[in-house]
Amino acid sequence: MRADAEERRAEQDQQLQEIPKWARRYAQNRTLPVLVGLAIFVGGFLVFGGLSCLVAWAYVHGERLVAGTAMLVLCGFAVWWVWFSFFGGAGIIQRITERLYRTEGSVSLGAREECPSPKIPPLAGFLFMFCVAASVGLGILGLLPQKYMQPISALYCVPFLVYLWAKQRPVGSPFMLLWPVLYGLHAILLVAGVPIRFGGKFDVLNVSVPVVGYGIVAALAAHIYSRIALRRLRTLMRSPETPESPEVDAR
Amino acid sequence: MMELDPEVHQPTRLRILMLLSGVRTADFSFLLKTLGLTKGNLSAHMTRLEEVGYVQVTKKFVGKVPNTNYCLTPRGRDSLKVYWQAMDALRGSAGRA
Repeated sequence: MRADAEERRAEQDQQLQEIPKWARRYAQNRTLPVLVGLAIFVGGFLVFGGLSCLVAWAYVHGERLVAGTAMLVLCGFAVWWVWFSFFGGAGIIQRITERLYRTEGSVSLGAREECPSPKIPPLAGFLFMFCVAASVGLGILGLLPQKYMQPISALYCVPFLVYLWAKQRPVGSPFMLLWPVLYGLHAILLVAGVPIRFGGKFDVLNVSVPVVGYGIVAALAAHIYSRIALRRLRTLMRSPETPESPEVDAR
Repeated sequence: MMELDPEVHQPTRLRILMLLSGVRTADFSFLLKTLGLTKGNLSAHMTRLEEVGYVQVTKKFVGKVPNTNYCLTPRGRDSLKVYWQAMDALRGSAGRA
């Protein structure tokens, strides 16, 4: 009888010891900000693409009013996009995710003042942008075959994404490492000749779709894991003594 | 023989302290939904933990909505550590008896 009670107590203690672990796992995998950021990026890409096509179509068909209006909207959107990317984007994403997480509350692994969103050091940012510009430039000049654009981009995107993840530790989700891993695997498969390329006029999608797509896959995997962690955490947190509703004197 | 800290030993407060030991901050809403308590009950527990200096409270506004965040103080962390040491010691002595 006593042995049973001790065993039960030991089991309860073991469950209690698991609480910090699951709380950390849940907090680490709250990746809705990444998903929201990527969704806005995709939306922006579609708006840019759509408006550019409209301008081109209207110009070719002599629809000057439509072309002019679309061009104005495109310029306005470009200005907003620059503002969003460099100034207001983080705040907007934060407000959206706070709204999305409102039903479950907020938890963090790093206080805002101690652990701000990772700032990319100027040198790393410059190197990355230089690599992007160089590969795009070489592609436009015809010095870099289109079919090698994604594998070449993987040479700098994979280390950059791993670097960003490492910089966010311990706040960043381990699942976000899937992003560079899948992007690198995609490059290897392309070089090996596996038919996973967009052809013809969709060539440009060979880089953008894997970059965004694998980012979404990684963030979604983390988000799903955060649901599992939250469920486990709630099970552990609700003690046998927790009343369902009555107001018990806590003192 | 080591004595158990009654502030930590209370099951709900122990769970709150354990959760806060795993993260930097958690807000009232998160604790409320995770613990499945009523607002009044959780509030009483948090006030008690704040009174004994085990948690630190930060109040701010998110937009127009007030938001109360809690984090474990070094004192709270120490008392949790001491609590588990005492529990281990108790278990050890019970096993020997």
